[in-house]
Amino acid sequence: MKRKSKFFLFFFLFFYLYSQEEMPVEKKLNISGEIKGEYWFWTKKEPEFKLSDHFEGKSRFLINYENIYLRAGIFLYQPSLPKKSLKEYYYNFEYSHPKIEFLLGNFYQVFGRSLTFRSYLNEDFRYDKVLFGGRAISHILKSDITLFAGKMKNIIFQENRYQYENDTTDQLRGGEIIIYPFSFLEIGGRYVRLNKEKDITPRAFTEIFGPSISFTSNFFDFYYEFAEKLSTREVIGGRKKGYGHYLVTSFTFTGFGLSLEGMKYDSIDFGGEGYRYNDVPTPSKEGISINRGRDEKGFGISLNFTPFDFLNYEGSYGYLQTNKKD
Amino acid sequence: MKLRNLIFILILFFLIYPQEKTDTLKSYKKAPSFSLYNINKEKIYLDSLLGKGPIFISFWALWCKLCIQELDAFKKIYDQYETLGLKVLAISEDGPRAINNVKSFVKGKKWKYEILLDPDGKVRELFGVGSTMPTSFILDKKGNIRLVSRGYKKGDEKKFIRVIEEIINEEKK
Repeated sequence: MKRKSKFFLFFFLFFYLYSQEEMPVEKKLNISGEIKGEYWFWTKKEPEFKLSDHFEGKSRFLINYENIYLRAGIFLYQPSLPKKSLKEYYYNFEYSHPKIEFLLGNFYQVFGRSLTFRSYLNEDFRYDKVLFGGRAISHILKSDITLFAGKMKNIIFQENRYQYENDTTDQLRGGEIIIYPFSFLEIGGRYVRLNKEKDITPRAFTEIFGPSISFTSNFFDFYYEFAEKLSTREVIGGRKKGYGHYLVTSFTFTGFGLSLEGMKYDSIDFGGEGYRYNDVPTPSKEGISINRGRDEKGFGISLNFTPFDFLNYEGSYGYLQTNKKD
Repeated sequence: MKLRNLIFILILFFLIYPQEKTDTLKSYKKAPSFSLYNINKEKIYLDSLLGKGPIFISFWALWCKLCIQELDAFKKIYDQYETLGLKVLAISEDGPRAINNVKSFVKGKKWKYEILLDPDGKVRELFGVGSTMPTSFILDKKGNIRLVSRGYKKGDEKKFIRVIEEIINEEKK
């Protein structure tokens, strides 16, 4: 490229990136936090009298000044049996500018509609899939680009105790790009790779990737995502395939909203024995898929209708079945 | 139970108890600035809405029945005070998977509020909402937090109206 062209390209890029107006944010120091605690004790008379108790405490704090965020927290669980106790620390540092974001420490991340990746916290189900690592996000050139690398702790309350569900040495790396060529159109692509410390198979990694497209208007919305998984055949080597399709549309008018979703998954489970790093959408009311994304297809309909101000109708129907006997 | 747990509970009690006496903040803490996308993918800045009248901010989610009851009940208040500058920001805390459902639900409910999406809970964290839903705030035209309401029960509308009228009357003076 000629020197003059480079010069013009540089100026074009500079003005494109910095011409988007941002609201001036008032300089403020925000400190917020949450402290929660619960204590239970109960007795059991049969076969012998037994007194049990447990204490669960959680605190999280945030200090925010302009674009800088510092977070710290602790989760503490102490039942009667000391062997089952758990103590987890959470902390991170984040720089969040309208154009670029950096984070180091603990964080949660979701890609697309989570066919490829989902790290999240569900306090009601006592389920925490928290990552520890680094993340960078850019919001430039009508696009959002996210890159992350980290290890996950999948903490779950099961059999009357908190435990790690996954192999916490698993290394996860991924990226997502979403482009907005027009305000009504969104095109995305994502890739996540999982490397296992214990897997000695040649090309010992699992990867999952796929595109998505989304269309938005006042009356009609559409979203489609596809994902393909390539994993290793343990010991013998070679690649094993899986795929997933997810589609959701909605029709909306004042007083009327209809959502339709459809899905088809085959061996799209991304993780390890008994745990997943993705979380495929499902139409079942509880939000939990039958076969955890290994092998299922189905659809869902939900309707919200207010013909008169005194009458509102809400209804939903979900159907899900496995593709083959498994 | 260990002694430190007992101390932790006592600290918790003393931290929480004084807040329950009154939910109207006398020192008028400033609301944090934020921007979020609405359901039509337009970016909305809180700072650009200030100065026009009271702002009611409610953190809600599709799974939270009390949140929906609160926003349903607020319809009448909104119709009554909209012309006097009242703005409502209903911030959905549903995850990215529920975006389509949020839009169809809101349209079906005939809510005329500005529906904002906070899928990673960042704004909820800035406001210190924690896991209590619904949590609502009323801001005056300078962005001061004039009321914090945690949870919802029938009749809460009265306290909302009282604070909204207070703010509107201050503006008239």
